[in-house]
Amino acid sequence: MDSAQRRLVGLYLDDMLTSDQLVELESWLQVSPVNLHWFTKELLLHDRLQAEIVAGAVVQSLPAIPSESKPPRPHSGSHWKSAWRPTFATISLLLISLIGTLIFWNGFVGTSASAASTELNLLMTANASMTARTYQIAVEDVALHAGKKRRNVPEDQRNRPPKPPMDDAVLHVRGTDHFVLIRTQSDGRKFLTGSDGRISWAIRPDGPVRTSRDLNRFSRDLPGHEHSMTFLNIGETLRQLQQAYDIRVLPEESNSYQVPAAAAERLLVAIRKRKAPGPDRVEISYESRTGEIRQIRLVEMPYGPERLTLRMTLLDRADFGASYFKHSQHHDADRVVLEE
Amino acid sequence: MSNKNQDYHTVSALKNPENAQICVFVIRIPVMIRRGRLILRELPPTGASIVDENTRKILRQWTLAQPVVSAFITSIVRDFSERDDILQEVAIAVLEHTDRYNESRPFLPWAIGIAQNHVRQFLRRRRSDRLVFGDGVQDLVAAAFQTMATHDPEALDHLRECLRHLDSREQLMCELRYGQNLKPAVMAERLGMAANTVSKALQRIRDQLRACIQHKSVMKTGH
Repeated sequence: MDSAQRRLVGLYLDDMLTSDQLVELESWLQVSPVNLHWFTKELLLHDRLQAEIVAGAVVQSLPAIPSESKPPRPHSGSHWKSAWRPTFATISLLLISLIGTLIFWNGFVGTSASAASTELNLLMTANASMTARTYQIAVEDVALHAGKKRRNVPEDQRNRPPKPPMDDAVLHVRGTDHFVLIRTQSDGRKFLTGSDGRISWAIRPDGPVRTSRDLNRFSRDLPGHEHSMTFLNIGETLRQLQQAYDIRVLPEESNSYQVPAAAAERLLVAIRKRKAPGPDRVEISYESRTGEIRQIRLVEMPYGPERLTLRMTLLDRADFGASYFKHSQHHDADRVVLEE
Repeated sequence: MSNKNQDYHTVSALKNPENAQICVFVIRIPVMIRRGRLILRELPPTGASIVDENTRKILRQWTLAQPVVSAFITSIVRDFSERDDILQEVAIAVLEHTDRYNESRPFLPWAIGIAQNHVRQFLRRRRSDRLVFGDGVQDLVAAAFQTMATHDPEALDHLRECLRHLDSREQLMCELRYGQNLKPAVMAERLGMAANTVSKALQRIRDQLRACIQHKSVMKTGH
Protein backbone atom coordinates (compact mmCIF):
# COMPACT_ATOMS: atom_id res chain seq x y z
CA MET A 1 0.00 0.00 0.00
CA ASP A 2 1.32 3.37 -1.04
CA SER A 3 2.48 5.36 1.97
CA ALA A 4 0.80 8.49 0.58
CA GLN A 5 -2.57 6.73 0.54
CA ARG A 6 -1.99 5.32 4.01
CA ARG A 7 -1.27 8.82 5.18
CA LEU A 8 -4.52 10.03 3.61
CA VAL A 9 -6.45 7.35 5.45
CA GLY A 10 -4.64 8.27 8.67
CA LEU A 11 -5.56 11.92 8.24
CA TYR A 12 -9.15 10.92 7.55
CA LEU A 13 -9.34 8.87 10.73
CA ASP A 14 -7.98 11.79 12.71
CA ASP A 15 -10.40 14.22 11.04
CA MET A 16 -7.56 16.26 9.57
CA LEU A 17 -8.27 15.97 5.86
CA THR A 18 -8.68 19.04 3.70
CA SER A 19 -11.53 19.01 1.17
CA ASP A 20 -9.03 18.38 -1.65
CA GLN A 21 -7.55 15.44 0.23
CA LEU A 22 -11.04 14.07 0.84
CA VAL A 23 -11.69 14.13 -2.90
CA GLU A 24 -8.36 12.37 -3.43
CA LEU A 25 -9.27 9.73 -0.88
CA GLU A 26 -12.69 9.20 -2.46
CA SER A 27 -11.11 8.73 -5.88
CA TRP A 28 -8.64 6.25 -4.46
CA LEU A 29 -11.42 4.25 -2.80
CA GLN A 30 -13.38 4.12 -6.03
CA VAL A 31 -10.42 2.85 -8.04
CA SER A 32 -10.27 -0.67 -6.68
CA PRO A 33 -12.00 -3.05 -4.26
CA VAL A 34 -8.54 -3.79 -2.90
CA ASN A 35 -8.30 -0.21 -1.69
CA LEU A 36 -11.73 -0.47 -0.13
CA HIS A 37 -10.76 -3.71 1.57
CA TRP A 38 -7.63 -2.14 3.00
CA PHE A 39 -9.64 0.86 4.18
CA THR A 40 -12.17 -1.33 6.00
CA LYS A 41 -9.37 -3.28 7.69
CA GLU A 42 -7.82 -0.05 8.87
CA LEU A 43 -11.17 1.11 10.21
CA LEU A 44 -11.67 -2.15 12.08
CA LEU A 45 -8.32 -1.72 13.79
CA HIS A 46 -9.00 1.94 14.57
CA ASP A 47 -12.43 1.17 15.98
CA ARG A 48 -11.33 -1.85 18.00
CA LEU A 49 -8.39 0.09 19.36
CA GLN A 50 -10.78 2.58 20.89
CA ALA A 51 -12.90 -0.19 22.38
CA GLU A 52 -9.85 -1.92 23.87
CA ILE A 53 -8.48 1.24 25.42
CA VAL A 54 -11.83 2.31 26.83
CA ALA A 55 -12.35 -1.20 28.22
CA GLY A 56 -8.84 -1.13 29.73
CA ALA A 57 -9.53 2.23 31.32
CA VAL A 58 -12.79 0.96 32.79
CA VAL A 59 -11.05 -2.04 34.31
CA GLN A 60 -8.24 0.11 35.71
CA SER A 61 -10.65 2.63 37.20
CA LEU A 62 -12.66 0.04 39.10
CA PRO A 63 -12.17 0.47 42.82
CA ALA A 64 -10.23 -2.23 44.56
CA ILE A 65 -12.43 -4.69 46.43
CA PRO A 66 -11.42 -4.71 50.08
CA SER A 67 -10.37 -8.06 51.32
CA GLU A 68 -12.62 -9.43 54.04
CA SER A 69 -9.84 -11.35 55.71
CA LYS A 70 -7.71 -8.28 56.01
CA PRO A 71 -8.05 -6.78 59.48
CA PRO A 72 -8.75 -3.09 59.64
CA ARG A 73 -5.62 -1.02 59.76
CA PRO A 74 -4.90 -0.08 63.37
CA HIS A 75 -4.79 3.59 64.00
CA SER A 76 -1.26 4.75 64.16
CA GLY A 77 -0.59 6.93 67.08
CA SER A 78 2.87 7.93 65.94
CA HIS A 79 2.72 11.07 63.95
CA TRP A 80 6.24 10.66 62.59
CA LYS A 81 5.26 7.41 60.91
CA SER A 82 2.64 9.04 58.76
CA ALA A 83 4.91 12.00 58.17
CA TRP A 84 7.64 9.70 56.90
CA ARG A 85 5.35 7.45 54.88
CA PRO A 86 5.86 9.37 51.63
CA THR A 87 9.60 9.15 52.10
CA PHE A 88 9.43 5.39 52.67
CA ALA A 89 7.24 5.12 49.60
CA THR A 90 9.76 7.10 47.59
CA ILE A 91 12.64 4.95 48.83
CA SER A 92 10.65 1.81 48.03
CA LEU A 93 9.95 3.11 44.55
CA LEU A 94 13.61 3.90 44.02
CA LEU A 95 14.59 0.42 45.16
CA ILE A 96 12.02 -1.14 42.87
CA SER A 97 13.29 1.01 40.01
CA LEU A 98 16.86 -0.02 40.78
CA ILE A 99 15.95 -3.70 40.86
CA GLY A 100 13.92 -3.25 37.67
CA THR A 101 16.87 -1.59 35.97
CA LEU A 102 19.16 -4.42 37.03
CA ILE A 103 16.71 -7.00 35.72
CA PHE A 104 16.39 -5.01 32.50
CA TRP A 105 20.08 -4.91 31.92
CA ASN A 106 20.49 -8.56 32.85
CA GLY A 107 18.05 -9.31 30.06
CA PHE A 108 20.60 -8.22 27.54
CA VAL A 109 22.80 -10.70 25.80
CA GLY A 110 26.33 -10.55 27.03
CA THR A 111 26.37 -7.93 29.67
CA SER A 112 30.11 -7.76 29.42
CA ALA A 113 31.74 -5.06 27.35
CA SER A 114 33.58 -7.71 25.37
CA ALA A 115 30.35 -9.32 24.16
CA ALA A 116 29.02 -5.96 22.98
CA SER A 117 32.37 -5.21 21.40
CA THR A 118 32.18 -8.49 19.49
CA GLU A 119 28.78 -7.49 18.11
CA LEU A 120 30.08 -4.07 17.12
CA ASN A 121 32.99 -5.65 15.28
CA LEU A 122 30.55 -7.93 13.48
CA LEU A 123 28.53 -4.89 12.42
CA MET A 124 31.62 -3.02 11.24
CA THR A 125 32.80 -5.96 9.16
CA ALA A 126 29.37 -6.77 7.76
CA ASN A 127 28.54 -3.23 6.77
CA ALA A 128 31.94 -2.30 5.39
CA SER A 129 30.91 -3.94 2.13
CA MET A 130 27.48 -2.28 2.09
CA THR A 131 28.45 0.71 0.02
CA ALA A 132 25.11 1.74 -1.47
CA ARG A 133 21.95 2.07 0.55
CA THR A 134 18.73 4.04 0.76
CA TYR A 135 17.03 4.98 4.01
CA GLN A 136 13.56 6.26 4.78
CA ILE A 137 13.64 8.74 7.63
CA ALA A 138 10.73 9.10 10.03
CA VAL A 139 10.67 11.63 12.84
CA GLU A 140 8.97 10.21 15.90
CA ASP A 141 9.24 13.17 18.18
CA VAL A 142 10.45 16.75 18.24
CA ALA A 143 11.28 18.61 21.43
CA LEU A 144 12.99 21.89 22.13
CA HIS A 145 16.22 21.88 24.11
CA ALA A 146 15.38 22.42 27.74
CA GLY A 147 16.45 25.91 28.68
CA LYS A 148 17.85 26.61 25.25
CA LYS A 149 18.30 30.34 24.80
CA ARG A 150 18.47 32.05 21.46
CA ARG A 151 20.40 35.09 22.57
CA ASN A 152 23.74 33.61 21.53
CA VAL A 153 22.50 32.81 18.06
CA PRO A 154 24.11 35.13 15.49
CA GLU A 155 21.79 37.68 13.92
CA ASP A 156 22.06 36.19 10.42
CA GLN A 157 21.07 32.75 11.70
CA ARG A 158 18.23 34.07 13.84
CA ASN A 159 16.25 35.14 10.79
CA ARG A 160 17.03 32.00 8.87
CA PRO A 161 13.96 30.19 7.48
CA PRO A 162 13.10 26.97 9.30
CA LYS A 163 14.79 23.82 8.09
CA PRO A 164 12.77 21.63 5.76
CA PRO A 165 11.13 18.84 7.76
CA MET A 166 13.14 15.69 8.21
CA ASP A 167 10.07 13.50 8.50
CA ASP A 168 9.45 11.31 5.45
CA ALA A 169 12.84 12.29 4.02
CA VAL A 170 14.75 9.81 1.88
CA LEU A 171 18.50 9.44 2.16
CA HIS A 172 20.57 7.80 -0.57
CA VAL A 173 24.14 6.94 0.41
CA ARG A 174 27.08 5.61 -1.59
CA GLY A 175 30.48 4.94 -0.06
CA THR A 176 31.40 7.22 2.80
CA ASP A 177 31.01 10.63 1.19
CA HIS A 178 28.28 10.39 -1.44
CA PHE A 179 24.74 11.19 -0.39
CA VAL A 180 21.47 12.71 -1.55
CA LEU A 181 19.00 13.81 1.11
CA ILE A 182 15.50 14.49 -0.23
CA ARG A 183 13.15 16.37 2.05
CA THR A 184 9.62 17.43 1.25
CA GLN A 185 8.47 20.86 2.32
CA SER A 186 4.99 21.46 3.69
CA ASP A 187 3.91 22.73 0.25
CA GLY A 188 4.94 19.40 -1.29
CA ARG A 189 8.03 20.75 -3.07
CA LYS A 190 11.35 18.95 -2.69
CA PHE A 191 14.45 20.32 -1.04
CA LEU A 192 17.58 18.36 -1.91
CA THR A 193 21.06 18.42 -0.46
CA GLY A 194 23.89 16.13 -1.41
CA SER A 195 27.50 15.43 -2.08
CA ASP A 196 29.29 13.63 -4.91
CA GLY A 197 32.45 13.25 -2.83
CA ARG A 198 34.01 16.30 -4.46
CA ILE A 199 31.34 18.95 -4.29
CA SER A 200 28.51 19.36 -1.81
CA TRP A 201 25.35 21.05 -3.00
CA ALA A 202 21.85 22.23 -2.12
CA ILE A 203 18.87 22.53 -4.45
CA ARG A 204 15.99 24.57 -3.10
CA PRO A 205 12.68 24.44 -4.93
CA ASP A 206 13.38 27.95 -6.16
CA GLY A 207 16.44 30.16 -6.40
CA PRO A 208 19.91 29.17 -7.54
CA VAL A 209 21.54 25.83 -6.95
CA ARG A 210 24.32 26.30 -4.40
CA THR A 211 27.53 24.29 -4.47
CA SER A 212 30.68 24.19 -2.38
CA ARG A 213 33.99 22.39 -2.37
CA ASP A 214 33.65 22.13 1.40
CA LEU A 215 32.00 18.72 1.73
CA ASN A 216 30.56 19.66 5.10
CA ARG A 217 28.90 22.79 3.73
CA PHE A 218 25.59 21.14 2.87
CA SER A 219 25.74 18.00 4.95
CA ARG A 220 24.76 19.74 8.18
CA ASP A 221 21.19 18.54 8.02
CA LEU A 222 22.14 14.88 7.87
CA PRO A 223 20.91 13.11 11.00
CA GLY A 224 23.79 12.87 13.46
CA HIS A 225 25.96 15.40 11.62
CA GLU A 226 26.37 17.66 14.62
CA HIS A 227 28.38 14.96 16.32
CA SER A 228 29.94 13.33 13.26
CA MET A 229 27.58 10.36 13.53
CA THR A 230 25.90 10.55 10.17
CA PHE A 231 26.16 6.84 9.42
CA LEU A 232 27.57 7.73 6.00
CA ASN A 233 30.71 6.07 7.27
CA ILE A 234 29.18 3.29 9.33
CA GLY A 235 32.52 1.96 10.56
CA GLU A 236 33.59 5.36 11.88
CA THR A 237 30.24 5.97 13.55
CA LEU A 238 30.28 2.57 15.22
CA ARG A 239 33.80 3.23 16.52
CA GLN A 240 32.53 6.48 18.04
CA LEU A 241 29.68 4.62 19.68
CA GLN A 242 32.17 2.19 21.15
CA GLN A 243 34.06 5.02 22.80
CA ALA A 244 31.30 7.37 23.98
CA TYR A 245 28.39 5.03 24.63
CA ASP A 246 27.55 2.04 26.80
CA ILE A 247 26.63 -0.74 24.40
CA ARG A 248 24.24 -3.60 25.05
CA VAL A 249 22.65 -6.13 22.72
CA LEU A 250 19.04 -7.18 23.09
CA PRO A 251 18.11 -10.85 22.60
CA GLU A 252 16.48 -11.72 19.28
CA GLU A 253 13.01 -12.59 20.49
CA SER A 254 12.45 -9.28 22.27
CA ASN A 255 12.07 -7.40 19.06
CA SER A 256 10.90 -10.18 16.80
CA TYR A 257 7.25 -9.20 16.54
CA GLN A 258 8.15 -6.19 14.47
CA VAL A 259 9.55 -8.23 11.64
CA PRO A 260 7.07 -10.96 10.78
CA ALA A 261 8.30 -13.53 8.32
CA ALA A 262 11.68 -11.84 8.20
CA ALA A 263 15.06 -13.08 9.34
CA ALA A 264 15.70 -12.79 13.06
CA GLU A 265 16.89 -9.39 14.12
CA ARG A 266 18.87 -8.15 17.04
CA LEU A 267 18.84 -4.77 18.61
CA LEU A 268 21.99 -3.05 19.72
CA VAL A 269 21.32 -0.28 22.19
CA ALA A 270 23.93 2.38 22.85
CA ILE A 271 23.34 4.72 25.79
CA ARG A 272 25.34 7.93 25.85
CA LYS A 273 27.87 8.22 28.64
CA ARG A 274 27.75 11.27 30.89
CA LYS A 275 28.99 14.43 29.22
CA ALA A 276 29.56 12.73 25.89
CA PRO A 277 27.94 14.61 22.98
CA GLY A 278 25.34 13.12 20.63
CA PRO A 279 21.93 11.50 20.83
CA ASP A 280 20.89 10.17 24.23
CA ARG A 281 20.41 6.71 22.79
CA VAL A 282 21.18 4.99 19.52
CA GLU A 283 19.35 1.78 18.63
CA ILE A 284 20.58 -0.31 15.75
CA SER A 285 18.45 -3.19 14.47
CA TYR A 286 20.40 -5.67 12.42
CA GLU A 287 20.02 -9.13 11.01
CA SER A 288 21.62 -11.40 13.56
CA ARG A 289 23.03 -13.80 10.98
CA THR A 290 24.63 -11.36 8.57
CA GLY A 291 24.97 -8.23 10.68
CA GLU A 292 23.26 -6.13 8.02
CA ILE A 293 21.87 -2.97 9.60
CA ARG A 294 18.15 -2.61 8.92
CA GLN A 295 17.22 0.33 11.07
CA ILE A 296 18.92 3.05 13.08
CA ARG A 297 16.98 4.95 15.70
CA LEU A 298 18.43 8.11 17.17
CA VAL A 299 16.71 9.11 20.38
CA GLU A 300 16.81 12.73 21.56
CA MET A 301 19.33 13.78 18.95
CA PRO A 302 20.46 17.43 19.09
CA TYR A 303 19.34 19.08 15.85
CA GLY A 304 19.65 22.84 15.82
CA PRO A 305 17.46 24.19 18.60
CA GLU A 306 15.54 20.93 18.79
CA ARG A 307 16.01 17.40 19.94
CA LEU A 308 14.69 14.86 17.48
CA THR A 309 13.87 11.22 17.85
CA LEU A 310 14.02 9.67 14.43
CA ARG A 311 14.25 6.37 12.63
CA MET A 312 16.25 5.56 9.53
CA THR A 313 14.93 2.40 7.92
CA LEU A 314 16.88 0.64 5.19
CA LEU A 315 14.73 0.61 2.05
CA ASP A 316 17.10 -0.57 -0.61
CA ARG A 317 20.70 -1.52 -1.36
CA ALA A 318 20.63 -0.64 -5.03
CA ASP A 319 23.66 1.23 -6.33
CA PHE A 320 22.49 4.23 -8.34
CA GLY A 321 26.00 4.90 -9.62
CA ALA A 322 28.34 7.80 -8.85
CA SER A 323 26.69 10.19 -11.31
CA TYR A 324 23.39 10.08 -9.40
CA PHE A 325 25.08 12.02 -6.61
CA LYS A 326 26.00 14.97 -8.83
CA HIS A 327 23.73 17.97 -8.43
CA SER A 328 23.20 18.24 -12.20
CA GLN A 329 21.20 15.00 -12.05
CA HIS A 330 18.55 16.62 -9.88
CA HIS A 331 17.71 19.95 -11.50
CA ASP A 332 16.97 21.43 -14.90
CA ALA A 333 19.99 22.34 -17.00
CA ASP A 334 18.96 26.00 -17.11
CA ARG A 335 19.04 26.51 -13.35
CA VAL A 336 21.58 29.02 -12.08
CA VAL A 337 24.40 27.34 -10.15
CA LEU A 338 26.34 29.37 -7.60
CA GLU A 339 29.61 28.18 -6.12
CA GLU A 340 30.24 29.36 -2.57
CA MET B 1 -30.61 7.86 25.82
CA SER B 2 -27.14 8.28 27.19
CA ASN B 3 -24.51 5.88 26.03
CA LYS B 4 -22.29 6.77 28.94
CA ASN B 5 -24.43 5.20 31.60
CA GLN B 6 -25.34 1.66 32.26
CA ASP B 7 -29.05 2.17 32.24
CA TYR B 8 -31.66 -0.32 33.14
CA HIS B 9 -34.28 -0.96 30.55
CA THR B 10 -36.99 -3.44 30.12
CA VAL B 11 -37.16 -5.88 27.32
CA SER B 12 -40.57 -4.49 26.53
CA ALA B 13 -39.12 -1.05 26.04
CA LEU B 14 -36.73 -2.40 23.48
CA LYS B 15 -39.26 -4.27 21.42
CA ASN B 16 -42.68 -3.81 20.06
CA PRO B 17 -45.00 -5.54 22.56
CA GLU B 18 -47.31 -6.46 19.72
CA ASN B 19 -44.66 -8.59 18.20
CA ALA B 20 -45.37 -11.94 19.80
CA GLN B 21 -42.36 -13.53 18.17
CA ILE B 22 -40.01 -11.36 20.13
CA CYS B 23 -41.68 -10.49 23.34
CA VAL B 24 -42.69 -13.68 25.03
CA PHE B 25 -42.61 -12.48 28.58
CA VAL B 26 -42.38 -8.93 29.69
CA ILE B 27 -40.28 -9.24 32.78
CA ARG B 28 -38.30 -6.36 34.11
CA ILE B 29 -34.67 -7.28 33.94
CA PRO B 30 -31.61 -5.15 33.99
CA VAL B 31 -30.18 -4.76 30.54
CA MET B 32 -26.99 -2.93 29.87
CA ILE B 33 -26.59 -1.19 26.60
CA ARG B 34 -23.13 0.07 26.05
CA ARG B 35 -21.77 0.72 22.62
CA GLY B 36 -24.60 -1.22 21.08
CA ARG B 37 -23.91 -4.34 23.07
CA LEU B 38 -26.92 -5.80 24.79
CA ILE B 39 -26.02 -7.67 27.92
CA LEU B 40 -28.61 -9.43 30.01
CA ARG B 41 -27.40 -8.75 33.50
CA GLU B 42 -29.52 -11.30 35.32
CA LEU B 43 -30.92 -14.48 33.99
CA PRO B 44 -34.41 -15.57 35.01
CA PRO B 45 -35.01 -18.62 37.16
CA THR B 46 -34.69 -21.92 35.36
CA GLY B 47 -37.73 -22.73 33.34
CA ALA B 48 -38.73 -19.16 32.71
CA SER B 49 -37.98 -17.77 29.32
CA ILE B 50 -37.50 -14.10 28.67
CA VAL B 51 -36.84 -14.05 25.00
CA ASP B 52 -37.73 -16.53 22.36
CA GLU B 53 -35.28 -18.52 20.32
CA ASN B 54 -35.50 -16.15 17.39
CA THR B 55 -34.49 -13.19 19.52
CA ARG B 56 -31.65 -15.19 21.01
CA LYS B 57 -30.40 -15.91 17.51
CA ILE B 58 -30.61 -12.26 16.60
CA LEU B 59 -28.75 -11.26 19.74
CA ARG B 60 -26.07 -13.82 18.98
CA GLN B 61 -25.75 -12.56 15.41
CA TRP B 62 -25.69 -8.96 16.58
CA THR B 63 -22.91 -9.70 19.04
CA LEU B 64 -20.79 -11.08 16.19
CA ALA B 65 -21.69 -8.33 13.76
CA GLN B 66 -21.44 -5.42 16.16
CA PRO B 67 -17.65 -4.73 15.78
CA VAL B 68 -18.01 -4.52 12.01
CA VAL B 69 -21.14 -2.35 12.21
CA SER B 70 -19.33 -0.13 14.69
CA ALA B 71 -16.33 0.21 12.36
CA PHE B 72 -18.65 1.05 9.48
CA ILE B 73 -20.30 3.86 11.43
CA THR B 74 -16.88 5.17 12.48
CA SER B 75 -15.78 5.10 8.86
CA ILE B 76 -18.43 7.70 8.03
CA VAL B 77 -18.87 9.84 11.14
CA ARG B 78 -15.36 9.33 12.62
CA ASP B 79 -16.20 10.76 16.03
CA PHE B 80 -16.42 8.01 18.65
CA SER B 81 -19.16 9.69 20.72
CA GLU B 82 -21.31 10.12 17.65
CA ARG B 83 -20.53 6.56 16.67
CA ASP B 84 -21.76 5.37 20.08
CA ASP B 85 -25.03 7.25 19.75
CA ILE B 86 -25.74 5.85 16.30
CA LEU B 87 -24.72 2.35 17.31
CA GLN B 88 -27.26 2.39 20.12
CA GLU B 89 -30.00 3.45 17.77
CA VAL B 90 -28.98 0.69 15.36
CA ALA B 91 -28.96 -1.94 18.13
CA ILE B 92 -32.50 -1.00 19.11
CA ALA B 93 -33.65 -0.87 15.48
CA VAL B 94 -32.23 -4.33 14.88
CA LEU B 95 -34.26 -5.70 17.76
CA GLU B 96 -37.36 -3.83 16.76
CA HIS B 97 -37.27 -5.13 13.22
CA THR B 98 -36.27 -8.73 13.64
CA ASP B 99 -39.45 -9.72 11.84
CA ARG B 100 -38.04 -8.12 8.72
CA TYR B 101 -34.88 -10.18 8.82
CA ASN B 102 -34.79 -13.08 6.41
CA GLU B 103 -32.90 -15.87 8.14
CA SER B 104 -31.84 -17.43 4.87
CA ARG B 105 -29.70 -14.40 4.18
CA PRO B 106 -26.55 -13.26 5.98
CA PHE B 107 -27.13 -11.08 8.99
CA LEU B 108 -24.26 -8.61 8.59
CA PRO B 109 -25.40 -6.94 5.34
CA TRP B 110 -28.86 -6.50 6.86
CA ALA B 111 -27.44 -4.87 9.99
CA ILE B 112 -25.11 -2.66 7.95
CA GLY B 113 -28.12 -1.60 5.86
CA ILE B 114 -29.91 -0.48 9.00
CA ALA B 115 -26.76 1.30 10.18
CA GLN B 116 -26.45 3.03 6.83
CA ASN B 117 -29.97 4.47 7.18
CA HIS B 118 -29.25 5.71 10.67
CA VAL B 119 -25.94 7.24 9.61
CA ARG B 120 -27.73 9.14 6.82
CA GLN B 121 -30.38 10.40 9.22
CA PHE B 122 -27.66 11.45 11.61
CA LEU B 123 -25.71 13.32 8.95
CA ARG B 124 -28.85 15.16 7.90
CA ARG B 125 -29.41 16.27 11.50
CA ARG B 126 -25.78 17.20 12.08
CA ARG B 127 -24.20 20.46 11.04
CA SER B 128 -23.01 20.22 7.49
CA ASP B 129 -19.67 22.00 7.88
CA ARG B 130 -17.75 18.79 8.45
CA LEU B 131 -16.27 16.83 5.61
CA VAL B 132 -17.97 13.53 4.85
CA PHE B 133 -17.87 11.08 1.99
CA GLY B 134 -20.38 11.60 -0.78
CA ASP B 135 -23.34 9.20 -1.00
CA GLY B 136 -21.71 7.12 -3.73
CA VAL B 137 -18.57 6.48 -1.69
CA GLN B 138 -20.66 5.83 1.44
CA ASP B 139 -22.48 3.11 -0.51
CA LEU B 140 -19.18 1.60 -1.64
CA VAL B 141 -17.81 1.61 1.89
CA ALA B 142 -21.01 0.05 3.23
CA ALA B 143 -20.83 -2.65 0.57
CA ALA B 144 -17.22 -3.37 1.48
CA PHE B 145 -18.13 -3.78 5.15
CA GLN B 146 -21.09 -5.99 4.21
CA THR B 147 -18.75 -8.52 2.63
CA MET B 148 -16.49 -8.77 5.65
CA ALA B 149 -16.45 -11.88 7.76
CA THR B 150 -17.89 -11.24 11.18
CA HIS B 151 -15.03 -13.16 12.68
CA ASP B 152 -11.96 -12.35 10.69
CA PRO B 153 -9.18 -14.88 11.19
CA GLU B 154 -6.68 -12.03 11.05
CA ALA B 155 -8.62 -10.66 13.81
CA LEU B 156 -7.73 -8.22 16.31
CA ASP B 157 -7.66 -10.83 19.06
CA HIS B 158 -4.03 -10.04 19.74
CA LEU B 159 -4.58 -6.32 19.98
CA ARG B 160 -4.61 -6.16 23.75
CA GLU B 161 -1.33 -8.03 23.94
CA CYS B 162 0.22 -5.87 21.24
CA LEU B 163 -0.80 -2.72 23.06
CA ARG B 164 1.48 -3.79 25.88
CA HIS B 165 4.45 -3.68 23.50
CA LEU B 166 4.02 0.06 22.99
CA ASP B 167 6.34 2.26 24.93
CA SER B 168 4.95 4.60 27.56
CA ARG B 169 4.76 7.62 25.27
CA GLU B 170 2.90 5.64 22.61
CA GLN B 171 0.52 4.33 25.25
CA LEU B 172 -0.08 7.88 26.42
CA MET B 173 -0.89 8.94 22.87
CA CYS B 174 -3.33 6.04 22.51
CA GLU B 175 -4.97 6.97 25.78
CA LEU B 176 -5.42 10.58 24.68
CA ARG B 177 -6.65 9.75 21.19
CA TYR B 178 -8.76 6.70 21.89
CA GLY B 179 -9.41 6.73 25.64
CA GLN B 180 -10.21 10.43 25.88
CA ASN B 181 -11.38 10.87 22.28
CA LEU B 182 -9.09 13.84 21.66
CA LYS B 183 -8.25 14.99 18.16
CA PRO B 184 -4.57 15.46 17.22
CA ALA B 185 -4.87 19.27 17.38
CA VAL B 186 -5.83 19.11 21.06
CA MET B 187 -3.31 16.36 21.76
CA ALA B 188 -0.64 18.50 20.14
CA GLU B 189 -1.27 21.30 22.63
CA ARG B 190 -0.99 18.94 25.55
CA LEU B 191 2.11 17.20 24.26
CA GLY B 192 3.88 20.27 22.94
CA MET B 193 4.02 18.85 19.43
CA ALA B 194 2.66 19.83 16.03
CA ALA B 195 -0.74 18.37 15.14
CA ASN B 196 0.71 16.84 12.02
CA THR B 197 3.45 15.15 14.03
CA VAL B 198 0.84 13.74 16.39
CA SER B 199 -1.19 12.40 13.49
CA LYS B 200 1.89 10.79 11.97
CA ALA B 201 2.82 9.26 15.31
CA LEU B 202 -0.68 7.81 15.61
CA GLN B 203 -0.36 6.37 12.13
CA ARG B 204 2.92 4.76 13.08
CA ILE B 205 1.37 3.29 16.20
CA ARG B 206 -1.43 1.74 14.13
CA ASP B 207 1.13 0.39 11.65
CA GLN B 208 3.13 -1.08 14.49
CA LEU B 209 0.04 -2.66 16.04
CA ARG B 210 -1.05 -4.13 12.71
CA ALA B 211 2.39 -5.67 12.19
CA CYS B 212 2.30 -7.08 15.69
CA ILE B 213 -1.19 -8.56 15.22
CA GLN B 214 -0.27 -10.12 11.90
CA HIS B 215 2.87 -11.58 13.34
CA LYS B 216 1.03 -13.07 16.28
CA SER B 217 -1.64 -14.49 13.97
CA VAL B 218 1.05 -16.09 11.83
CA MET B 219 2.75 -17.50 14.90
CA LYS B 220 -0.56 -18.93 16.11
CA THR B 221 -1.76 -20.46 12.86
CA GLY B 222 1.67 -21.40 11.55
CA HIS B 223 1.12 -19.79 8.15
